Amino acid sequence: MPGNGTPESAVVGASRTVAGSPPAGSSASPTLSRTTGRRLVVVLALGLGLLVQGAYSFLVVPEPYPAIRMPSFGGAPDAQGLFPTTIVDITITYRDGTELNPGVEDLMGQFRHSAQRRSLDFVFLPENNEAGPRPVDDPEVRSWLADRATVLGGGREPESVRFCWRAGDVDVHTGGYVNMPACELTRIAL
Amino acid sequence: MNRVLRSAGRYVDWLSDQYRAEPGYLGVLRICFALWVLVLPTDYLWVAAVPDAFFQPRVGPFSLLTEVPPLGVLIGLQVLQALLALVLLVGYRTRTVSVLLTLVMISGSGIVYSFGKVDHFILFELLPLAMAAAGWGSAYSLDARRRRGTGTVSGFPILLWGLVVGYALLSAALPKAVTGWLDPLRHATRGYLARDIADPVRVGPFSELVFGVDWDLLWKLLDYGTLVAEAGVVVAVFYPPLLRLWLLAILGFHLGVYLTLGISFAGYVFVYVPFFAAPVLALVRRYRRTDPGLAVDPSGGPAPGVHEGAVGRT
Repeated sequence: MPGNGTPESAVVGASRTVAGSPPAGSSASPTLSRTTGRRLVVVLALGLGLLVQGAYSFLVVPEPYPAIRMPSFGGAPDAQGLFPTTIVDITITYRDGTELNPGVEDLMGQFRHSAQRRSLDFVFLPENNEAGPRPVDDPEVRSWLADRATVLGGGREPESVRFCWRAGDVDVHTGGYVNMPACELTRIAL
Repeated sequence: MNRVLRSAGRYVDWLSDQYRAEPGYLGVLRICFALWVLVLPTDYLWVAAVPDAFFQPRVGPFSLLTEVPPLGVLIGLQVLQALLALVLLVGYRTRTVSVLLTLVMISGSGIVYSFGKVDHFILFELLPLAMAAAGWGSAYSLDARRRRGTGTVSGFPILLWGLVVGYALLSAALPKAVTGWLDPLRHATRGYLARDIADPVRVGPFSELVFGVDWDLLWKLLDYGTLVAEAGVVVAVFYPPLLRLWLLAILGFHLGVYLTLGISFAGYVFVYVPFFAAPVLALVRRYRRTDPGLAVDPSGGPAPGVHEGAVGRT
């Protein structure tokens, strides 16, 4: 590799072109310089590597990490403007008979924002608690849930927490929910 | 075949020259990036406060973890992130520190993304690695002072970085293209905004205003514009002036996503800044021509023009 002080024309080898214009026409050297050849190999190897890791990242579900990708925002509403979505309602019942309906962001407030809903579904969704060991039976989870319910209730002692999932649609014209069926329920006594 | 290879080689050399940045430009980028990491670090400590049952590591090296790492490890990562950013700021052993910072950030992200969601800041995390190769420790750094002059910078790593960025944005466009964004009757952008309006946990400052626009053509143009902007970067990389214009459009889309969906990719400004070295330098030179008393050498040595020979090739 050329060291400091080497005239740039000697470093470049092939004739320089006007800045902003790609090189045109044939030039002096009939062979590739070692540097240029190495660069071509690196570019091809990088391209191939990106394609391979990209294929891997799309074929593996859920998305692996680390992988070079940007958020896809895949999916779109149908032609009638209905966009599938699943909402969850949370109800905390306290021993004094009162109730509280916190949002996911309140109950899961300790989590990174983007992880809140996915984490809640992972542990509390009925389909994730059909076979043992069930996450909702984990003593650490129940203790954590009780602590969170107490904090959200301003010190009130929680009796139970109920999660209600409903899979329906958002109407893109009104921003409202439509076609909401009955709940899929998880109820945890504390 | 030889002729094809020679032509390709000349083109790659030309691109590398076009993307080469001045040492001072890269030095300022390094300092600003380090400050960003110091002032707005990624929080790793929250994972210690939640039960292990929530832990679902992604396929990959982090799948070797069977439980949330101990608090000590998380504190160590958090402290390392800050320390490395500080050392990067002053530009000491810049290449090594840059590699280590990338490793720490990816490690920390691998842990926090083990709770159901990957947040796609990988380009931000890989930037130190790429810019170390480009020579962002060459100026405004302890390394430069020890060397008694600016070091080597190279445009080839920035060309490679362009291919990585272009590919990453293409990876965002392709799923859109196959899941309805191309259908003229389906308005994807409007759909995502509608979801946020329905459940306004995190919305942008203009969410309601934009949602009120009831013009199908506009919504469809937004969908198509997004696809073209994202898919086009990997092509624009091969003509630097076009890439700079394209990235301005991408920045516009990032801003639009923040204003409507409340999702911030502010840190990604650093990802795109390396490609703007030439126009920024042209502006600086024009400014200096009008005020010659402002000539500044980043290393404290002779004026920048004397360092042309120090601009080496990788």
